[in-house]
Amino acid sequence: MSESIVLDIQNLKSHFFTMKGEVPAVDGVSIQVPAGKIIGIVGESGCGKSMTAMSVMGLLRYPGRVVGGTILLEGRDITHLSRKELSRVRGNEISMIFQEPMTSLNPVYPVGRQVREAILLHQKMSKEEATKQVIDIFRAVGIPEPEKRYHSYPHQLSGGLRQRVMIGMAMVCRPKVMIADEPTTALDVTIEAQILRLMKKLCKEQGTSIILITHNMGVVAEVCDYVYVMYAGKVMEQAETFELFENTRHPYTQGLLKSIPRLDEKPDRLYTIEGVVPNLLHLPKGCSFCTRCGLAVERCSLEKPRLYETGDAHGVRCFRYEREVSLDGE
Amino acid sequence: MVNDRKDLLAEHEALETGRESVFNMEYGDTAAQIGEADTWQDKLRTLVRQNKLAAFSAVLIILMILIAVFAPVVAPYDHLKQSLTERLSHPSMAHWLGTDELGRDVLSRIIFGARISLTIGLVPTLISMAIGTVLGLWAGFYGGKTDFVIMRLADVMLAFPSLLLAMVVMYTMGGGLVNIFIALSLVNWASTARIVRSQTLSLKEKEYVEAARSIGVKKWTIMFRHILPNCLPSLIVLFTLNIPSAILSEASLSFLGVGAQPPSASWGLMVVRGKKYLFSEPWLSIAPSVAIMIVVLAFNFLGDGLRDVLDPYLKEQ
Amino acid sequence: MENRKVLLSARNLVKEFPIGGSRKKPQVVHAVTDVNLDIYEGETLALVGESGCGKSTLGRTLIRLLEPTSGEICFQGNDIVGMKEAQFAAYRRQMQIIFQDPYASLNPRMSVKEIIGEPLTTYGLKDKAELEKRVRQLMGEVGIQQEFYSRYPHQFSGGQRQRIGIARAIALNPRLIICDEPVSALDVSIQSQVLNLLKDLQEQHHLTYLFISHDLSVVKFIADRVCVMFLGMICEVGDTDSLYEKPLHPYTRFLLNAIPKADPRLRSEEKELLSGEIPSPVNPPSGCRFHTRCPYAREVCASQAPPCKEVEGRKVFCHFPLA
Repeated sequence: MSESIVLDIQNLKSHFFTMKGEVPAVDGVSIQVPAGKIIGIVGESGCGKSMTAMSVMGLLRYPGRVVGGTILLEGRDITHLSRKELSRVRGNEISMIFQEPMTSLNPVYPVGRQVREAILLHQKMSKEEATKQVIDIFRAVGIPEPEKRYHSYPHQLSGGLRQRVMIGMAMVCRPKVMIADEPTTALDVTIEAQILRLMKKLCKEQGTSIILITHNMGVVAEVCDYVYVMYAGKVMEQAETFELFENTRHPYTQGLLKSIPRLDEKPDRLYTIEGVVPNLLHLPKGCSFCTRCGLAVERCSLEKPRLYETGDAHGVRCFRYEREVSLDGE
Repeated sequence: MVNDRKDLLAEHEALETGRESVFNMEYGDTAAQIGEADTWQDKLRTLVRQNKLAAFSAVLIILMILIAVFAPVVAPYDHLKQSLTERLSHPSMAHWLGTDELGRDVLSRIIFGARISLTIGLVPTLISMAIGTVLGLWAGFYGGKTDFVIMRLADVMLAFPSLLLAMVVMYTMGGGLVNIFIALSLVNWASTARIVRSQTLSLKEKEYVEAARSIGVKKWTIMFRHILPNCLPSLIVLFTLNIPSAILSEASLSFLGVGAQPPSASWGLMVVRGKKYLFSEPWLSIAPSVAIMIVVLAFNFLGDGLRDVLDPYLKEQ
Repeated sequence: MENRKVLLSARNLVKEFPIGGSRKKPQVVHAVTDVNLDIYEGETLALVGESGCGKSTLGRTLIRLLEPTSGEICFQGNDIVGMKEAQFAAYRRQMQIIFQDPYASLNPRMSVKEIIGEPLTTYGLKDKAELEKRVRQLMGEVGIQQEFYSRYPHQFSGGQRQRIGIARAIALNPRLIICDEPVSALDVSIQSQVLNLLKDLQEQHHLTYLFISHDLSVVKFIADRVCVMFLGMICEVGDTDSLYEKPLHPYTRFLLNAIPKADPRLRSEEKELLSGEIPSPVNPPSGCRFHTRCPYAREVCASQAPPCKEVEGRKVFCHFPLA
């Protein structure tokens, strides 16, 4: 990748300190976000994809904590910023939208006012100008009748419109990076398609990089430029979207793709990855996927594989690609 | 302008809270995944670790219950034995808290008084909560007219000052412990009924209740097998929080002369008897007051602590 | 299809929920409006649509978990609407339901043996040894290890809980199971396990499924026939393969278009998307309820409800079905 890297996450480790022990929710994750691209992080629940985003946003709370690694925003280390400094970065340079917009919208104020406050908090301008800007933003994110919607309360809007408001709010300061955590999971398919198209458009027109966190391989295939597949706190495979779907290398990714029912075929039985996601407290000594992997050999349960580069910016955490170069900074 | 800024910050704060709730959801996922789920043992451990005050209160309450049960063994004197030669003696090695106007040992009377207070705290609370639970379940589950009648009755009960109501009951039936039981049981059911009803309303929409209905489980079975057990955490919290108010009610009734009758060693009665000597022998009323305060505070601290671990929902209300 | 036996059929089924309003002008949610539907013995009929289209309400109404506002439901030829509880009990055990949320559908204070055993004890199985044998057999059938017999729901993962819910549903040997989004809360790798299990059980027990889902890829895998709903009304009913190949109702086509496909080669910036939001079921549009979002709508669509047309053996409710 020759593009300029906006956000560079290096070897990030975030742990939970629980009564039962230390849980490595994010265990050495490195992610590069180039300018103006959509990066996908895909994985099942509990794989650490959301925790990665929360760590970047500085939103971890007790009992979670970042215990290692660095997060560089345009070369500036933002890993150890104070709360105050962080809140300036947040919203200005990185913003985040969530699965359920209701958790981030205040139910007692009209949505327009909330977006206006967000503008006023970060930019110096008069209220009237800000109001005008809100309406422009609403129009840009495809909210019909923006002047009327300005005065609507969150509960008066449908899920799709609320998510548009959240995206509008996140785009207020034209952030360099927007992190979207399952932004369309709570929405209907026809609305989901609209929102995905909107995000793509914003990415292209405003040059904002997007980190899209999702469990849905379809969403990834639809909009992402580059994909990271996570499992049990680690990146298992990373590649450009076309490369990943055409030359799927890691057994986990392969299994995941095979087990999704498809529209163009009707098998008698679906392929399944047997077993369940391992308990993060009692991970296997070797590869965390070895207990469910059909190709596992003895070595897989003893040693931890590194992330091996296999050409075309394609990384795989599997011994079967060991002869290639290690991508881990270790 | 300054105010505006404050407003902005307040809203920013609200947003942060929203994000924190997202974090909690996310953490909940992980917690469930590693198996750190809500067993009783886990919750007790959380209580002991996070809320030392509540844990200490629990120990204190257990200690007091033991003292009350073994009062005859623990108390240095017989609490009813008068000794006119030792009237109103000051605290000393022989009588740690002195003696009252009839020469009875105050410490022994307080120890025996714990029996009355704790019984008053436990029995009428249990009875009133049982009544409230059944009525609340009934109202919430059946809805409609049943619900309307029960809840309006509860509203009336809550609108009426409960102490006044208890006094009316006591005046018509006369003093004495049993009547206090009845009076307090009658006036305190309404708040329980309300809480159980609201919980029933939300629990009966749960899918496992729907599943039971689709199987064809009888209504009563659904109520007592599927709904009531899931109200238990709130009921336990409510129980610990209702006990002190019952103890206070008894003390107030006794203080007003319509509760426990002499010569019983009720703390409320002791306070009122000591009132005459407030300036010359203050320990006579201060000692039982402090006893009441300690018991009430201990139950309240424990209740608050239990509420935090067992029932976050109640906290938000 | 005509020669197969109809297991359950609904005629002019209506379900409305009052939501207040004044006494003169009471407001109702029109969740299900005038639905006619046949479910054949042994098939999987999928009920597809977006949130608020009334698919879950319809599913629950068909087995009388909700009482219909009007219309009739015939199970094996007997009208079960308005049947007395005692008489209905015999039918109730033949119609079971599997829920979407594996966390909300199991009582957290009951152990696995109590949850799976509850339907059995409710219908009079008193013998303890017999009960345990049957529960263990059911656990085996859905793939729950025997040593988890006395465990509580919170000790299980989402997929395992869903299996427990399935065991409870098949305990009474029902004829019809309503599967209300049974896999949409599960992770991809678990989803395929549960779908396979459902298919196996159907074969072994000759079950009929009404499979409610918003995920058209899942439906494609499991269903024999599909019924597409929009805002409380049926748009189109037909065989899965022909419906996916050549949708007749515009809505079906847009729905199929909108699914994100797990293949980047199928990406297309220009593919037609449906614009606008889903109208409110409190004040549904007049005529064809889809006309406010339909790019092909003409005047008649706004004024008249579309008739049921038979096209190539499929039923479609549209004035101008796609040729």
